[in-house]
Amino acid sequence: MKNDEGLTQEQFELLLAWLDPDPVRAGERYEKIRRRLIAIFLNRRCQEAEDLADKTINRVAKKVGELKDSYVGDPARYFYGVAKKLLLEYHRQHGRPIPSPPPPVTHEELEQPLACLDKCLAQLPPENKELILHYYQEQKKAKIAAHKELGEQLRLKAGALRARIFRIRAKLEECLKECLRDSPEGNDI
Amino acid sequence: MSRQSDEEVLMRKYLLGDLDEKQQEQVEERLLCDDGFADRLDAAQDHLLDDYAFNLLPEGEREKFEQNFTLDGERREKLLFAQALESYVSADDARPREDVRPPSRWWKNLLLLLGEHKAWSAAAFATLVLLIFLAPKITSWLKPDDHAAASQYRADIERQLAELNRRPLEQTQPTFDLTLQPVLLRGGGELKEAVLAGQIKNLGLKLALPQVRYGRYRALAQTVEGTELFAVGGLEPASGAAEVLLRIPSEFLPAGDYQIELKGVAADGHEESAARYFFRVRK
Repeated sequence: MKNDEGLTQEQFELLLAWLDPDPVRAGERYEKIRRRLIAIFLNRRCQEAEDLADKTINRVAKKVGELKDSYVGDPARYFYGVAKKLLLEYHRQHGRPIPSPPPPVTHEELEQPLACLDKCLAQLPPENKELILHYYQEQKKAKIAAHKELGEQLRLKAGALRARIFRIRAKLEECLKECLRDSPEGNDI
Repeated sequence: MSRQSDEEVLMRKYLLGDLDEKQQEQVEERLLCDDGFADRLDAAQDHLLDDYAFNLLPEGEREKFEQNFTLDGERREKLLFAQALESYVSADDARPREDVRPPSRWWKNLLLLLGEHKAWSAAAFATLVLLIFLAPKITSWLKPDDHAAASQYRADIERQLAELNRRPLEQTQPTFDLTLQPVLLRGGGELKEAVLAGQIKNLGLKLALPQVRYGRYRALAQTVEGTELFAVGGLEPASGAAEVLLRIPSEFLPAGDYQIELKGVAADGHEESAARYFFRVRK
């Protein structure tokens, strides 16, 4: 794999300006692209996904000076082209390792998350708490009919019910992460 | 699990490493270039993690998950969340659920009752008529004048706030700007302060939005104890912005601690609590 050194401030600023003339929007765009590159490398079974995403960005940034005036189209596509090349290099070097399956979680490991979950659920409006617990209880029983019935009770179509559940779920997840970070054992996770 | 659309099937196969090279590339290009698609893929990943944690994946998919789904720190956190949810739900399973059905209309129940007990119908009907005619009078007995005045005052404040928040930025008077991050757990972080003194006429609160976004928001200002003060609706983030701006005249905010509850307004008009922010006003 090629040697990918860090970026100069000038190269980084040029990259951001290429992504968007507005610095705030450029920063957001940069974060989005980085996050999505990490997801792509993870989905291609690369353990060092974050490093590879940063290497991709560095390579693009070093080219921006040459291509910014001539490149046509969404810059994200260019990132993808570079990411694919990097992926080939990575697989040539490391092969395609099979990730180890997630280890089973122990009751002790769940103690703190459960305490946080309890706290976070208590902060939801009661109807949202009922709704999400009911949904996941039925999910556990894998009863499609029960979801349909729940949707009917709330006069929601299946898609709308799921969208609502996932909005509540995302809030809970964010709350749980924050709670775990604040807890003394948080650093172990 | 509910029936999946073609796109959901494609996304799940992608996450399980079950697509050919060309299909993978198509998904990845969209993931990088299409925000909506990227959000839906995030949701598909959450769904997959839920199904894994709840042991709902068919054997073949479970095997593929374990062979292909590479975990990094963030995915590990997500899986832990799903496992905690599964464990919580299992423990909670025995508890009887409350009915989430919307309450039926009271007058329907009343008519039903009158139909079933004809002997009482006439007396009940007479009482009902009496109540209807006396209702305005009774309300005036129960509602003191100062309550009406407070309602009127709040309505005035909300009208002024709505007008101020509709006005273009350049037309507003000197403003103290304060950026607030959502607080998920009370008591977390340092309380930000706004000094509303001298020429400062308005407080401009830039409310950073959490990950879950809505097109429109309504802000509810409260004291830290939870007493409602006023609400401002129709707040929209500027195009591409990750915050909404809420402007409040200084005169409506005496020195003290406040909280803002931001409610997201869904496409069907349904409101959900999106975030909460705390701040202090000094004069």
